[in-house]
Formats: sequence, C-alpha cells, structure tokens
Amino acid sequence: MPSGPFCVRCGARLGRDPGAAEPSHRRREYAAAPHEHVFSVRLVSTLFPHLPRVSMHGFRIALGCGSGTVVLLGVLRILPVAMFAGALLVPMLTLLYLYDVDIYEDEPIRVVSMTMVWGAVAGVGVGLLTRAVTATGAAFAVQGKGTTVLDQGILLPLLGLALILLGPLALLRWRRFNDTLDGAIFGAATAAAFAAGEVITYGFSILSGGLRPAGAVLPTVARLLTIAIAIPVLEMAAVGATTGALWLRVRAPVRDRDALGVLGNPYIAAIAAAAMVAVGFSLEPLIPIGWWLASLAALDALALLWLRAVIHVGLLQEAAEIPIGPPLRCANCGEETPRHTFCINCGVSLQALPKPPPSRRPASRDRPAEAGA
Amino acid sequence: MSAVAGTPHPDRGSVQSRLMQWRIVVVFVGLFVVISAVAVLIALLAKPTPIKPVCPKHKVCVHPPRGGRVPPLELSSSPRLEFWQAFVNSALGYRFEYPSQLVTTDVTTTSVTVKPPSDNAALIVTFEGAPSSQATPDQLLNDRLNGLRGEIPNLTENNIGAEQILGPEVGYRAGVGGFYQGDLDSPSGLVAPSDVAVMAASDGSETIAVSVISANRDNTGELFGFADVLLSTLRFRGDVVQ
Repeated sequence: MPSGPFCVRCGARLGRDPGAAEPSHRRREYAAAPHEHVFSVRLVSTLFPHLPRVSMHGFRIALGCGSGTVVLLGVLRILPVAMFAGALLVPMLTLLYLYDVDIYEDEPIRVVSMTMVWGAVAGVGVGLLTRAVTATGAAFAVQGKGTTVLDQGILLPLLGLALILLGPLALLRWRRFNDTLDGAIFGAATAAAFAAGEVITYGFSILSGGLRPAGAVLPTVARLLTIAIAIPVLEMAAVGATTGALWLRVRAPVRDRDALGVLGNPYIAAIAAAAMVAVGFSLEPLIPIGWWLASLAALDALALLWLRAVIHVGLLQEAAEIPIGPPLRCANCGEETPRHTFCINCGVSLQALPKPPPSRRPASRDRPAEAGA
Repeated sequence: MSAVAGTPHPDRGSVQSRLMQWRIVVVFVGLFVVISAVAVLIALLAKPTPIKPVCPKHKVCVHPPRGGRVPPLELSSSPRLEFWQAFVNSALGYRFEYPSQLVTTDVTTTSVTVKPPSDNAALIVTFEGAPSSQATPDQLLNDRLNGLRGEIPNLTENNIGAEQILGPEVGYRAGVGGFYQGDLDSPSGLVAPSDVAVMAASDGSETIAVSVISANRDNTGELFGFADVLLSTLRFRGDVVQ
C-alpha cells in the first residue's frame, strides 16, 4: 500500500499511523472536493461535483457574475431581461458543466435529451398547464390563498417533480451510467432545465409590461433571486439527491445499498424531495417576498447538504476492486498519485473528476440492461 | 463506477476539464449576452403603445381620467339603471350597480368584489368599507394596498403614467388615491403586469375604499374607463334616497 495522507482504495485519511486510521466513512473531507468539509453548504462543488478545484473557481466567477447581472437588471427594473437571464442562469451553467467535464460518455445526444431537453419540455408543459388551470388575470389578485397553495404550491410542483424524475429514470437502464454521481447529476440537470422552462413559459406575459415596467425595486430583486438561484437550486438538489439515492440502490453493490440510511431508500428520498419542494412553493402566497427568499435559502441549504451527503457516500462506496496501477497526475491537486479510486495526496475521488475525452476511451461496450448491479 | 462494475478508465482522474478557468467565464458571459439580447428584442417587440392622458395635468377631473376609448357597454337606449343589478352592502349600506356581464364574489359584511366570471378576467373591482370611526380614508387605502401587496409584492405608485388619478373620489366624495403598478406574482412565477387604481373617501359616517386592477396593460385605459362607469353608480348609504 503506497503511503500518503489518504488511502487510494477507500479514501480514508491515514495520518501518521495508517494502522490506526479511522474508516473512510468518517472522513470529514468532501470526497468530490476534499478541501471542503462534507457538511458545508457550497453551491458549485455540490451541484457540479466533477469539477477539478481550479475549474470550480471559473464556475464560481461565472455564477457570481450572472447573479450580479440579474440583480443589476432588477435594480434598473429591466424586468423581462432579468427574468429571462435569471431563469437561464443555472441551466446555462449546468450545460456548460456537462460539456466541460464530458459527463456524456460518448452519448451526448442521449444524455442531453433525457436530462436537459426533457426537463425543458416538461417545464414548458407544466408552465402551459399552470396557465390553463389557474387564474392568470386580475382574478388572481382575489383568489383565495388556500387555492393558490393547493394548486401552485403543492399539486403542480409535485406533478413537475414526477415529470422531472422520468428523464433520469430512462438513463438508469444503461450500465455505463452506473456511478451514484451520474444519477445525481442527471437529476440535477433535468431539474435545472425544468425550472427554467416552467418559469419562462408561465411568466411570458410579463413581457407585455414593456422593457422597463414600473415596480418596487427590492421585492423585484428578491423575486429575481428566487427565479435565478433559490428555486432552481432547491429543485436540483432535491431531485439530484433522489436520483442519487436511486442509483445507489439500483446500481451499487448490495452491501452498499444502505450506506445512506433512511434517505438512501428511493421512496423515502422521493417523499422528502416532494416535501421540500411543496413547502418551498407553498410559502410564496403566505409570507412576504423577502421572508420567502430567506425560507427558500434555508431549504436550499438543507437540500444541498442532503445532495452532498449522497454524493459523498456514493463516492466512498465506489472503491474499485482492482490492483493499484501506475502513477498519474491528479487533476484536482496536480500531484502524482497511484491509479486507483482516490488521490493519495488530496483525497479526491478520481470518479469525481472529468471523464477522459472519447478519443482516449475504450470502444463502447454498453447496452441497455435490466436494472440491478 | 462501483466496485463490481469493473475497472475505471486508466486516464480517469488525470484529465482536466475541457475549458480552462477563463474560457468558462468567457463562454458563459457570451451565452448570457446573447440571451439578454434576445430578451431585450422580445420585450421591445411586445412593448405596449403608450397612452396619452385625456385630462391635462393640474386640472381636477370629475372622474379619474380615462386613458383611451371607453368600451361599448351594449346598453339600450333605456335608462341604464333599469338594466344593471344593484348590490347593497348589508352592514354599511353602500350600494352600486353592475352589468349582468359581471358577478359579485367574496362578499363579506364590509367588502365585495365585482369581476367577469372568467378566471382569466383582466379586470377586478373591489369595494371595502368601514365605519368612519374605525378607519379614515388614508387608513383604508393603506389597508387595501397592504392586502394587494400579498399578490403584487412590487406594487409601487406611479405618478407619471397616463392613468394617474388626478382627482380621486369615491361615491362623489373627494378622497385620497393613486395609480400603482406592479406584477402579479404566484409560486409558479410572475403572472402578469398589473395596473391598479386605489381610492378611498368618507362621507363622515362610513369610509369606502375601491381598488380597480387591470391585468392587461395594453387595455388598461379601456378597462379603467369601464370601471369609471361602474364607480359612478356607487353611493354612500346617506346618499341613497329610499
């Protein structure tokens, strides 16, 4: 066994006395970004876990610039542009991420169709349905809050959640997408596209107010932040955690299926995700916009921690039963590490790093298969 | 890949992402600019034509100004009151009349809403009353605005639009009021831009606030004109001849 700060097989922190090292499941370093604590609320490393550390900075800058632009547009009351840009902020980053880390595994059309395209189509469909079955004119102003909570806080968001899950479920058949991380990312990407499709379709009539409609600035900015960040993050994290749990249950070895505890049960995970989404949407008619934003931020934090736990546990379960290979240079820390499952220096899971480009991969050997490891 | 799935690819872990840090930002900014440009274009194409005010500024009008044509009410040549239904508030006694195309909803002892039957109606008129000892026009106006901010969080007064209220009055009593704009908001997203006129006045024994909401900005002038006609039938209890 090569010596270093981390075990290349299980990812455990070895310390000075490897024999006395704690088991890997007790490590505090997040397996996809070991410079961060596993239970810290981080957007980029949780939603985009394949990124090497240096690339995470680029995504943070992009996210910061995008959010800042949306806020600026809101302050200037250029609402239609701010709404479009805000709704597409996270989906654009997600698309960029899928391309950047080449998560498709030679199947870009299939993966993008089943995730982002399906999410966008389902979002547009739910947006149109919402406009068709709920009050959209001035009557909305006098509609009972109970009706709004039931229709647009619970029923329609849960319908959306169910539709989102269908896309990633279709990819579950392919054994090549067998990482827990794959499942989590497929779910998150679908949810991001769904959120954008729904909010743009439903809110399209806002364009009739002109380029710079009147409206108080602070509530407008708060609402834009819910559209740009809070809602997509909540849906991405909740759905990603659910599909991650599903992948762990279906694709992981039998011995690892209970590693996530109760939330590793896909049914429980789906119920927890539904509860989070329903609570998040239901609060909108009941509390002022600022408090709603704060509540969504709290739910986001919870959902991100959950997704982070799913990814972390999933990566720790991925210990490949292979001999230790020749050294390679870790894309995360730049140091040499023996080829296996974790970097010996930084402890990152090598599965949580970008996939090799198609030209450097063996020929496809994958066919749709029955679910089950 | 999990333990039973086989060997990870030899290069896995040593491959950097496709885009370098600065390229990510450049590509993202490029995409963002394109999307913003498209949104600007769409918004400009969908922009409503501005309406010129009928009443000159600084002149007190009999009714709130109308920004456009008054829609045909399809009334016969008979006196209007014979064809409109009357609503009388049970507790405060104020009354008004409304055409058969509209319905009353959310009737309470002090308030009532008049609207077309459709859920997607572009016009809503709400009357809310209180004894003068309990609410001044300013208080009732603020109560109404606070209530509206539940559905229109960014509601704000607009004193430069064509629809501004130059001489607010309710039931032929001078009062307070203003023209407001904002966006109807729901959990699913922004519903529609909305124009709101809110006015309140008192006859000394009771106070009445009226809010008119248009969720069709292109036709706000016409909708407000229609609401003017409806509001012209409003009377305080003391003004109703038995």
